[in-house]
Amino acid sequence: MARDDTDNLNDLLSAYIDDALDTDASARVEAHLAANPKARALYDELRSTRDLLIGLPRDSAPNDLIDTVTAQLERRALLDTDDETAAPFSPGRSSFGRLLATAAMLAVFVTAGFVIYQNTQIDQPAADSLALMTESDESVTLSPAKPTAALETASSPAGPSADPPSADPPSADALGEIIVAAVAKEEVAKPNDQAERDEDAIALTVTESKQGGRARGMAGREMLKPDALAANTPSQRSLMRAENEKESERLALRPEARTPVPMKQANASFYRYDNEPADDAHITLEVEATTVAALADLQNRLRAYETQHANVTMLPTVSTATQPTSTVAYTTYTIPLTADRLPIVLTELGLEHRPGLRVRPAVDRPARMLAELSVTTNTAIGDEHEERDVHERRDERRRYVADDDAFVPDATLSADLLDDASASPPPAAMAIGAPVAFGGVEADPVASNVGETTESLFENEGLPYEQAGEMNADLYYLHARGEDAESATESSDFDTTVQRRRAGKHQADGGQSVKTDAFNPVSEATRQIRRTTTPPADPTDGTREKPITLVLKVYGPARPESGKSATTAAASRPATSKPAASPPAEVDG
Amino acid sequence: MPASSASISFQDADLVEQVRDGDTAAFGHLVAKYQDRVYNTVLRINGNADDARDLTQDAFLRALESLDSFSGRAGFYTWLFRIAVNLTISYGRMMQRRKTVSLEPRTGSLGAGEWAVNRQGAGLVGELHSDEENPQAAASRTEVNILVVEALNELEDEHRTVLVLKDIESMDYAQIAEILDVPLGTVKSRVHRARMALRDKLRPLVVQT
Repeated sequence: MARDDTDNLNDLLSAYIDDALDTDASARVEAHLAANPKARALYDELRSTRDLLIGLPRDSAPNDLIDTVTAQLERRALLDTDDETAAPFSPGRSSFGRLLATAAMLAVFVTAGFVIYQNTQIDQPAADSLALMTESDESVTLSPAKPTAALETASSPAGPSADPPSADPPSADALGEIIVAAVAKEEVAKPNDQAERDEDAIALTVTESKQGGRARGMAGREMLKPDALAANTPSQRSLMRAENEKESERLALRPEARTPVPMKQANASFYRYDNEPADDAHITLEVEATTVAALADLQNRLRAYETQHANVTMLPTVSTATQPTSTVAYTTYTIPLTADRLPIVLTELGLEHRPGLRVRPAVDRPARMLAELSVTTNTAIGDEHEERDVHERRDERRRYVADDDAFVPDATLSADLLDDASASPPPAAMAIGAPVAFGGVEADPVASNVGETTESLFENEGLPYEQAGEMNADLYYLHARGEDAESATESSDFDTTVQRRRAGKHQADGGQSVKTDAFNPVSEATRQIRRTTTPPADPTDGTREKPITLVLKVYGPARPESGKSATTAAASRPATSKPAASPPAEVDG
Repeated sequence: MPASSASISFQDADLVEQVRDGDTAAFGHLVAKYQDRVYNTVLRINGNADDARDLTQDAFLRALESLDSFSGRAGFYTWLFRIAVNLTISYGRMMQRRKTVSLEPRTGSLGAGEWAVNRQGAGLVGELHSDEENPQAAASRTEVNILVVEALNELEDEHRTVLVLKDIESMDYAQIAEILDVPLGTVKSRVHRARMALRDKLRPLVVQT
């Protein structure tokens, strides 16, 4: 075989390794390898080289990357809207739109030039001020002394400090518009009262664009209209400004500044059930509306979301529970979706950093939990971890209950609570999403009782076993929270001592179990998903879609009074969820 | 509360259309879907975790900005990678330096301070600590990986890029040709030359294996 042929065939070795040759070429390479030991050695080395690369570990993107990108998008949206006043952020804006925008800008500059020329003929001082604007083209920079005159000229042409253009009043109006637009755009230094007015205008513009930008991605949210904004009172405006500032801080992208969520809390809401498909998972979030308005707003958004998404069916289940001091109601929304869709849905539902809403994972929702999916499953090692977790969890469960059918709470949390059995009297309003990190106790007779309830639901009510189990888990949840006094009264198993212990735990830790403010559902869900999403079988196919059920337990605002219906109570509760001072009445056995 | 397993399928094309309609939330879905792969690719080409993070972020934002130019002829995934790879290569040229992994594999020391700040190194250290069953084997594999990463970083840019796409990202030749905008034959020969160069740098390891 000639040397050239050998070289040519050697050049094909990589393609042969990658199975990228046609049949003829492959046959030639194989013959070459069979006849040439050196070529065979080279083939082995190249193959080993490739394998070394394939064996490199894969790095995941930083957890907050998606937050960063999302915030950048929002920031750009805001800047974009500032630049183009009414035009909403549209990443896919057409070229025609850009041309139109360019033409509009040209028209503005031509008009400005014409107006300036007019003014130089009419009014020299005004022309001086305006000349400064045009000199710097788009980057309008007014000297500290000049803008006053310019603005006064613009906003009050008949004012004392401005010489009213005697010959051409419309040109002064046009100048005013240009100046105000330029000032709003560049935020130049202004006199105090004018700055105050313009600050209002800017703040309102930002609010409008932000709401509008999100509304496009979210069904049913009302956009703030310019007319409505204009009608706002100064106090309302300052409130909106404060809200904008908070939002701006959030957009400032300082993920490291966010309080980290304790892992136990973060993971506790992510369960897998032993009687469900392995890749089916639930995320349960408690959403507590601290005001009636926030509750109504959330419900509207949930309804709108369902309306807008034909393939999303929420299953709202209204539950009412009575406890010694108050009647509470919560609504459970079940939203089927996919894992990588979850953070977006949470954002679309407006659950992130929304005034009046407290969102937290259901820290100890008892269920037939087999494993917390808190470890990565995207490698073989991850699978082993998951399996190990399953076994560990199973062991824990066996430690706590002998009966497999009984529902048990999260053993980890339970163990924590068992450590603290100080029997302080429970706070009164531990109702309604009162953020007490309850856990169960293995000696709690409720556990076995709930197991019986499952059986009865299964056998007597004819419910599918899974559904009975879920319902039973919810019943137990109410038991555990001490919110279901009616059931507690009927059930001799409900133990007020347990309730005291739980409340005592809450008091003993100085409210440490109240972690609602630290919880960012979107980023946390993203992290959880990252840990639980398996890689695609086909690397070109992207992330595998994974079914997830998002369960939202929506609570209304707290109310100390008792004896009212849930709806009435929700409508009249004050905007607080803090525990009341007086202790509750003892639960009758 | 029945456990519903109904899932919603969001394909790239649908999401792209939604983004074009102004739904930026849909773009978040695309980011969530591809961020790990883009990041890993950029990190392996660039070699620096901080740069990789910024470049990944930039790639997504540029993709969003230029979504108009996405014709759909190639997949969104390929198109996105094209942006990311081009950004990374351009950045590397602009900086006129190539980041190297801050490891000192030949000394055998795993305690170098640079490890903590270099994600690639940190990832490898993590790998070492994560293998609880056989620490010695894990340490050995980590050492090998360190050498491989270092050798990869010593390659010419075009060689490193093509190997990352082919062997780490498991792309086929056609996709690589699309991303790098070069003919298929060029990709084949470039992959071969790159492997030969890497083999020369890793000859002791290659012979061992």
